Amino acid sequence: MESANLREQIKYQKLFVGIILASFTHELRNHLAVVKESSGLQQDMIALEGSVKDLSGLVQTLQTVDEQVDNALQLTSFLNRFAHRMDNEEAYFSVAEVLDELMVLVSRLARQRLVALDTDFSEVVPPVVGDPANLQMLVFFLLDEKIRNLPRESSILIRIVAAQGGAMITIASQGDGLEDAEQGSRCPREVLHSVARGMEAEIIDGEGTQETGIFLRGAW
Amino acid sequence: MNRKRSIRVLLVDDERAFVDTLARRLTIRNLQVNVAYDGEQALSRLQKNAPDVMVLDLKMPGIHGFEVLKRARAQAPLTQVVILTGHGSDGDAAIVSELGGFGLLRKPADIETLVRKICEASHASRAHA
Repeated sequence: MESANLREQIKYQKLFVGIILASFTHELRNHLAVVKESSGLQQDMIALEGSVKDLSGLVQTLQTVDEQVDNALQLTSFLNRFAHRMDNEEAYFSVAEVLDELMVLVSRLARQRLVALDTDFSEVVPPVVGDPANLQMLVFFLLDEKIRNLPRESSILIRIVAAQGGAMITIASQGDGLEDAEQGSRCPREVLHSVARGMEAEIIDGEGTQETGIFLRGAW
Repeated sequence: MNRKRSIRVLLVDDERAFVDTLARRLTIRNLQVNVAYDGEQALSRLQKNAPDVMVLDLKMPGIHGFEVLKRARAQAPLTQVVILTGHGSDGDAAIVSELGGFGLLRKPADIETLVRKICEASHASRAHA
């Protein structure tokens, strides 16, 4: 029974990493595509005119290339940090840092669904103990469920607050709720509860389907 | 060259910097290019003035590219649709073909490969007219 549970967890962990990597590589390809076309356009202009006649156009192109490279670098930094979250199954970590990474990698999925992601990580909360990669998976699937089922132009507020010596992450949707939910969730709730139990965390569903919380125990 | 000049292309992609630059490069290559930044805009353009070829991204905010492709084929059957996407799944090519798309290229694509694909698609569009 236990190994069946573990297999289920691994299946959804792989799904989570796969979705993040697909979204990340897609975004990276977009940045590279802009760089390629910008460089190609300048080559076209030089081939057409025999020399660089439009210097301001060239400067603008170089600025665009610069911006795209910066965007791609930022994205790869977050992906690198995301990968290193899997180094240790139990670690002391800052919840805000772990969620910051996730937000960058998830924002594209939300944008495609025209759902706004707002965060409030301003409250000082103690570091927590657990598996940061599993926490990212939990928050991802809870967020993903809302993103996939909310109507367009909705928003989701993710907050971190101190609670009982640990931290509470709340994910609250602001829109018409999930009444017209058709897409369901990509990960069954019992798998998420099982992952949460494994790190001594708890998923707490609020009234209706608008708000979900994850309680994490403090490190001390 | 003259035949190419008369090919009307609609580029559809939410990445503005990409689509605007690509539009300039295709214009230099004597294609008549128009752009749309999402699926809704594309379908509205299609209704007003159907191009010979639509070059369409898949992952866009709002309507997904597959849905745009499906509606475009119903709305303007003579317009051929070439998918240009950074999305890499092998299953995508099969779905594109099932939905009546002309072909799929991965983004970023070589400009001459893209122009050749557009010319082939335009040829198919005119053959069906």
